[in-house]
This record gives sequence, structure tokens and C-alpha cells, in this order.
Amino acid sequence: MNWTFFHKLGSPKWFYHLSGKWLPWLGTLAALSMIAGLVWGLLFAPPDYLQGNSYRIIFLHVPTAFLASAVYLMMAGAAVVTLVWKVKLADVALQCMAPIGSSFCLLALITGAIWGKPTWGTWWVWDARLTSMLILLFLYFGVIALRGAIRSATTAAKACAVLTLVGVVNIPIIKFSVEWWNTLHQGATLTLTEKPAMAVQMLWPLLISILGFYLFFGAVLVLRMRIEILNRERRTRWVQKLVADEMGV
Amino acid sequence: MYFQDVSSLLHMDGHGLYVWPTYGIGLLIIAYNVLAPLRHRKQVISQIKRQIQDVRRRGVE
Amino acid sequence: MNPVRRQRLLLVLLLLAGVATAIALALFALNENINHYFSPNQMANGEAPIGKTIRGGGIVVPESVERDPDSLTVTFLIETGGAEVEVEYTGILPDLFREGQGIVGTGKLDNNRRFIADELLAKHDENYMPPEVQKAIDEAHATPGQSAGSVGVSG
Repeated sequence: MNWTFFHKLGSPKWFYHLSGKWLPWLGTLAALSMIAGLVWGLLFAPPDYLQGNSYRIIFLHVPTAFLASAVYLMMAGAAVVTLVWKVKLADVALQCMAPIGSSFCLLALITGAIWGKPTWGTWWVWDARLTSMLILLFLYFGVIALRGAIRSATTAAKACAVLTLVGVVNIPIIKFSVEWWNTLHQGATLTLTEKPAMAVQMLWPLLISILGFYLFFGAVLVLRMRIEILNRERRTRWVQKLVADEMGV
Repeated sequence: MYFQDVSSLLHMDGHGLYVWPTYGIGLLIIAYNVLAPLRHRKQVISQIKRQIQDVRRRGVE
Repeated sequence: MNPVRRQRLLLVLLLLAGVATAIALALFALNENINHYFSPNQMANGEAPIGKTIRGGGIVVPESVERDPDSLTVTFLIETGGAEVEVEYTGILPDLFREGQGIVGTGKLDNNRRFIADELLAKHDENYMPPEVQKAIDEAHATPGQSAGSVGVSG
């Protein structure tokens, strides 16, 4: 098997230069689909027969909720690569994913709470779905805090990776909470196995919003990783040259 | 557009009070995700620039 | 794979398995306490305790809602395909309280197995559709006495 590709993939310098080419495209696509999905859902989609116009929060709530879990799963993947293969770039990815994922998790909780008031009649309830999402937020904050608390970069990398993996058990709990327990939060509208429980005029803007948020995650992740790479590799020749060129030698 | 005019768009049959602040908060978080790294980038670049300048100055002496 | 890496991978997997087992056991043990939720059937057949604060809910039975003219007290029946239980609630009903839609309440069963709710929340399912689509479905299923606002009740 040709491992050279994977070794190149792990090179910060290679990643920096490649990502520089793709970032503008990624960012533009993200902006376009996010704007398209959200504007469509907010202004053009019909209201819901039961919830009226309050359901429009879904176009923010579902994408961010999906991403909150998906990003944590990706962090777990990066954690495994860090611990087993000790690829530096994986640790960079893990470090950079955490703040993004946590902000999405926070947004999912806030949008959910505001949506809950006019629909369920409460801002919050300690059911399994909401509680496990709150735990996810604490896990995110924990990983971020742990990074700052440890002096040694290599120890911090290992510790954050371990904490991430300990918490990944929460992800299937979040997903299946609405099936395993009696929750106020309803079951899944979008599933892999069944037809969506949503009319097409609402489904399209939702799917486009979800796509937009995934692309947005990709773009801001790449943005953060590039900066973190410059930060960590600041003593290398290629970074010094890069910055010096910017200064106009 | 589903709504007939701006006023009904803002009011959303009473739900505007929930929907618009939600989207406002959403916008803030999206903005944070773009602006925070950009600010950090400026910090890192200026730190490295200062390092380079220090090295050069010391080299000249 | 390089033996050092293989060992690390095994350790990682062991860690994951260990945490997963611990959480599964904890949840299993706590289940009794977390899941203090009772269906109308359970309330009617005696599974639910009387006089203790519990949670329960079901679908509001159409045409069972009665409001007291002098107060905010309302009574209605709930069911999930079996026994019907009467719920009594004093307070402002949630916006989404509808016949044929779900509710979740916190309260106590009295000696007559009536559920006196202190808190009442509306529970909705995962379906989303515009009003005209829902109307079309209602008309297709139209039978005398069926109320608007009810869609294929899936609970």
C-alpha cells in the first residue's frame, strides 16, 4: 500500500499550501448555500399546519444540531489518529474543531429553547435528548479548557484526545435518545431509511441549509487550521519565509 | 415570498418574536466563527513578524 | 501495522469499550428513576403510582375537552390506542394544545385514577407540512366527527 500519500497528508506545510487554493471556493460555496437555504426557509417556504411560522427556526436548529454531533465524531476520529499514529495534523484538527463544534452545539440548544417556548410551552425540559445535548456542550468546553490547562503541547494533545474519546459514547445516546426513552423532543424527521416526514417545499430549503452549514464548517475549520499551523510551525523556514514575504523583504 | 408585506414578515402571526431573535443569535455565532480566527491570524502573523524583526536587528548589531 | 501502533490502537479501543460499558450500566441502573413516564394504559391498569408526582401523556381524545366556565380548569381524555384517562389541568394551555395531538403532563394520579396535572406541555410529532397538504389529507380521510388538526396519529 502506498503510504506516501498519507504521509504527505500529514505534512502541515503541504496542507497549508493546498488548503490555500481551496479555501476561497469552499467559503463561497458555503456562503451561497447557507444564504440560499436560510432565506428560502425564512421567507419563501410555507408555514407548518400545526406550528405556524415558529417552525422556521428549524432551518437553523437542525443543521447546527446535526453538526454539533458530527463535528464531535470527527474529533473522535482525529483523536484516534493522534493517539495511534501520532500525526500532528490530526491534533491540529482536533484543537480547531472544538470551538466550532461547541458554538454549533450552543446555537442548537439556544434555537431549540426559543422554539420550545411557543410550541411545547417551555424553554427547557430535562428529557434525554436535551440533557444529552447539554452534556455534549460540557464535553466540548472540557476539551477546550483542558488544552489551555496543560503546559506541554504533546501531553495536551494526548489528554484532549483521551477526553474526546471518553465523551464520544454520548453521540449514539443523543441520536437514539428519542427512541430509547420517552422524550418531549419528537423523533427524527429525516432518517437514512425512511421517507422524510416533511413536505418538499420545506425539505429543500432544509437540505440546502444543512449542506451550507457543513460547507461552512469545512471552510472555517480550514481557516483555523491554517492559522494554527502557522502558529505551531512558526520557527520553520517555510513559515518564516511566508511571513517575511508578506512583510516585503 | 410567502409573506404579503414587511410588517407581516416581521410579525409572523405572533411568532416573529421568537423567529427573528433566533436568527439574530444565529448570525452572531456565524460571525464569531469567521471573525475569531481572522483576529487570531492577525495576532499570530504580527508575533512572527516581530520575531523576524528582532532577529534581523540582532543580526545587524 | 507497526506493533507499537497496534498496541496503542488496542488501548484506545479498550478505553472506548470500557467507557461504553460503564455508561450502559449506569443508564440501566438509573432507568427506573429517569423513565418515570406513564402511558394512559399504565395509569388505568394500576402500574402508575397514586399520589406520587409522575409524568405521563397521550393523545388528546377528540371532543373530550371541557372547560370550566368560571376558572381556567380544563378536563379532557388522553389515550394511546388503549384505555382513556381523564386529565384535569388548571392554567393556560400551551399554544399547540389540540384535539388529536399529544400532550405531556407532570402531576399526580388521584384515587379515581384521574391525572391531576400541575404542568402541561404540548408534544408534537416529527411531521411537517403546509396547511393545504394537511387539509387534503384530512379531506381524504374524512369521516363524520373527525376534527381538524389530527394527522395520522403515530404517537
